[in-house]
Amino acid sequence: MSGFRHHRGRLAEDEIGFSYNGRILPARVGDTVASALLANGIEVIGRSFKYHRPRGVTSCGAEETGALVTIGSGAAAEPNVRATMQLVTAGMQVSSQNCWPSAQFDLLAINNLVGSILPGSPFAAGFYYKTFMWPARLWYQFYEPSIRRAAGMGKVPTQADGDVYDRVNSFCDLAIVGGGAAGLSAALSASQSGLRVVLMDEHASLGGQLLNAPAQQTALDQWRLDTIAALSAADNVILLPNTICWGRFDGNTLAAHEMVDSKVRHNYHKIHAKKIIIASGAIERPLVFANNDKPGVMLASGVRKLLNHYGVAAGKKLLVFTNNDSAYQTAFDYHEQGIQVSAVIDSRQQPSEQLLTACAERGIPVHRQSVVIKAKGWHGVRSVLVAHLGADGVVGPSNSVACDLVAHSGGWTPQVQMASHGGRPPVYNQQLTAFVVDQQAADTWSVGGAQGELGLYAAIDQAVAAAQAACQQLNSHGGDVVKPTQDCSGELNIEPLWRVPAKGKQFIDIQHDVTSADIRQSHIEGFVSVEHMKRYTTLGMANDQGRTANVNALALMAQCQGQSIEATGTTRFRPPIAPVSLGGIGGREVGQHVRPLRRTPMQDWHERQGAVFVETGLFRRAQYYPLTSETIDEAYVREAAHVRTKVAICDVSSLGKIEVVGPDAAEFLDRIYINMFSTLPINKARYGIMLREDGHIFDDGTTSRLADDRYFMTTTTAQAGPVLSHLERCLEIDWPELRVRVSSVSERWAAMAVAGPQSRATLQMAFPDIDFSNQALPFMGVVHGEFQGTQLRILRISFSGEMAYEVYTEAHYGEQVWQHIMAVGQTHEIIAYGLEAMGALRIEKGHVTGAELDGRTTLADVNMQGMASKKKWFVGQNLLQRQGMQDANRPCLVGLQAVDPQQAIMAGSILVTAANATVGCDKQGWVSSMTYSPALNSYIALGFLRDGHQRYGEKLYASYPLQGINVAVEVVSQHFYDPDNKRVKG
Amino acid sequence: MLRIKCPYCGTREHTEFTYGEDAKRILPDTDASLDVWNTYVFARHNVAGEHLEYWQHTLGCRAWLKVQRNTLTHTISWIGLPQDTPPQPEEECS
Repeated sequence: MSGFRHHRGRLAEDEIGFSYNGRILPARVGDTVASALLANGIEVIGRSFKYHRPRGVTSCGAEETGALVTIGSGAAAEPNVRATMQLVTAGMQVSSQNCWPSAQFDLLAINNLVGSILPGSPFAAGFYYKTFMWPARLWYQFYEPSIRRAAGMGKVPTQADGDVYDRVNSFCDLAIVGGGAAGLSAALSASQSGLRVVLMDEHASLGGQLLNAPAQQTALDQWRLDTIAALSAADNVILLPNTICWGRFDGNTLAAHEMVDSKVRHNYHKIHAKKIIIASGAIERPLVFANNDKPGVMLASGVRKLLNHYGVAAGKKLLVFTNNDSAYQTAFDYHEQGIQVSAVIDSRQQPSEQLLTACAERGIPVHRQSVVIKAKGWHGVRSVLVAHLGADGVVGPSNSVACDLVAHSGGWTPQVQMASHGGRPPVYNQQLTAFVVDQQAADTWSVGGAQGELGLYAAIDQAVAAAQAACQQLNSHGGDVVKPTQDCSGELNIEPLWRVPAKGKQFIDIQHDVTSADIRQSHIEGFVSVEHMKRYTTLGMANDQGRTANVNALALMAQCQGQSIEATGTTRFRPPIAPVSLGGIGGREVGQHVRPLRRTPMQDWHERQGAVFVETGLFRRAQYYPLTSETIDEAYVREAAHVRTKVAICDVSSLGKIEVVGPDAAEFLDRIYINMFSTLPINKARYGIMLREDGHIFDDGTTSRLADDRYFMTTTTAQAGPVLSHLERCLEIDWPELRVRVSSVSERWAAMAVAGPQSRATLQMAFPDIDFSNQALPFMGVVHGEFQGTQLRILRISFSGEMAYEVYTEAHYGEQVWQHIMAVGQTHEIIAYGLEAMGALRIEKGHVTGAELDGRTTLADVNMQGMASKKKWFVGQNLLQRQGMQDANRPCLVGLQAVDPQQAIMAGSILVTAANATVGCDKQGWVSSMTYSPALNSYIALGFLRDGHQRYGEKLYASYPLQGINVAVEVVSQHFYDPDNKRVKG
Repeated sequence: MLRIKCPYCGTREHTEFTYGEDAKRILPDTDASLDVWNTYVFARHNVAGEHLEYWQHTLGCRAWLKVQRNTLTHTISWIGLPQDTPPQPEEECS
């Protein structure tokens, strides 16, 4: 309980209340969850991933490694939120994670002791790979569930997310990533060009590290406020605070995630920028000493920002531990505010005189050439052990220094993720002791801290130069920027200290509980590549993506290998660089809006009739029309039987429909289909099959000739798009000389199949002007007509095997025509039938559909080789001759009838000769589709069987091992019903 | 996210387009040998660099386009119609 609200900082005076683990606490408007919790004296916020060590706030930004909380409850709960990035709102619910019964007292902290006692114990590097390997069955029963309970972060809610997310597509001339001094300067310069500028920053307040300085330090703050005001006033600038840019992609596209304080929870921005300036800044690096994960150990810059921006003192007694100049300012600011600074521990031999004098004036003791070897305290830090750092790296005797807040700084790490997306690897810069991207991508500039430039004036100069260059490339002029009257030197005078040479749990990746010992362990076990080290130790794989851990880990690895950091190299950065909600990426395309719904012209009618629907592509097609309390099986059997005895109607509007028009249309179709279409008389239809170039069956359908130069092609529902693309490709690329145009008319025509012995009588009544007699409209004939002024096109074709017609009409009149047929059909007891009954009917007839034409079957496989014309060339003909395609052993299409007629055959079963098939038995074939046949009063199926034609009458078993189902079947011809096709022609 | 400039429709997002195939394949004669057809259908150069390829503006004008794209950078340097040839012959890779 050591943090407290010291003064107002830059926040408003208004107080709001929020709940933390059920307690109501006060906060100021503008507080983050982290600053509010610290202001309330809360030190331990959660427990760590593996060891369940107490953890608190470690920073003030996106690099946060300790303070992960769950926001909200129930379906709206969001786990693993960085408390430093989440603004408090009135009534917000915040809770701790990964602890039981509470963060303060957590039972699984036993992991911490086990981890310390046993070397190579669970949770050390690689424990996933080498622990709990044996016996295997225990993995599922015990190890995996118990590890899952123990290790982990927040819990994802299982309820559906009720929040609304949005997606924003935007375009700009210049996108600026980061709203610190560099980003603001670039925006101010570019804003004067009139070009469209977008600036994103992950924090609620723009200013970056300018916010670390005291609010009353007017020169800097005034410049910041003036700049933001100027940008807000500019019509051509869009400022996006609370927006983290998480990826840079091809074509200068940026992806960003905005936390919105409104009815929409998150916005996902896709920003297409002509030019990009990356001003993502640098973050402070931790020092590596024992217990550096203890609550109260924080990055110096974060400690400073908490005090100056949020007015929160994170402790009552500050100790600064550093290897560079930048952390001294934290000590000075705390002293200025009257908070005790117990000491500055500086690992360098000779910090600058200026700093030493400044400390002496303030009475702050400085321990030179000293290091903190260990932080001590039960939960939070209460003292540290300080020791002298010898020239050879050995630590002398230690003494204890009391403090409840350790502000440490191991240098600064440029945020190079955005600059290195797109394949540019960062390289090590000795002077900065950090990785930077030295090769800029096209149309991209990296400036300021992101490029290792830490000085204020220098960063502004760099940013303005980049903005002006970008504007110039876009034929415009970026303006000049007046700098603040006060500079902040970026001089660090850093002397690397990658690890304090002492014992204890020294954390490198705090969030994933990876210690310096783990890095050494991975080296000892032979992991040479950084990529392997990363995966073996899981370093950098938590939700902070190892921002603060990376450089320290690489340096340590280089030390182990006895080589330079340059030689060890770094891992690549990939998007997203920060946690992104899937809700944001999904936007409004959730639930029924994931895909558009294609409705047929008769959809409303089916819905009114209480049809049950099934998804087929983007369509929802009527599967069956149940009568009261009817099951699906009862319904489709009834509907199918009705087609065979009376008349029924089915919506087939989802079929693909393509008009093929032009003087060479006949020649074109002869090349596309395996059979002849140039010989097809006008007003006749023909069933056709087309192959892919590789010789496999592509699609089938009925195409009719409307005129010499005009054909009406139908395709299957599923292949409508691919077939159209194929036709277009052939015409534009392969045969540009053919004078043919194809165009999709799928949406133009409603289509309905009217099938059954009474279909002719029904249609004759419905459309008395058309002659439906066998002479006028024989099987495969086409006739045109009109109904109440709308066009009719009627094909006498049959999929069911009964006398049947397909009635096409203009889409807008589809339901009207349908209802008319239904009305007059009452005399013949017409009903509607769905997809399921249609399946039963076509299987009875042995017709193939997608289950058989699955892209892997040949003409011979489905017994259609006879259809291929020998008088012409067609697509796929050449590769059809391949040996494998001609293999006589290929399974071919057969019918299968259940020996016990009431025993269902499972689609997907394998065909075997023995009743009790076992793994490795000889698979003779498979079942592609099945139905109950009302005509045969038996379950029947279609399937593919080796030597199928020679095996009619043979008994086999359709085996479905996953469910232990074995059904005895007899091999028969695929043409179960009316094999002579008499009924369609009657 | 690539943006592709369709000669008919202007610059659009690549999600409107569908990748087709290698544009350097030459359709064999109908009576060419099985080997020739086999090569045409199945053999492809896996080019690291400039690649000539077909795309279709599927969700736009549906035109098939010839596109020269660098497979390493995704930079599109030229777009034309199927019968056009790029202004400079791109480097031969094999």
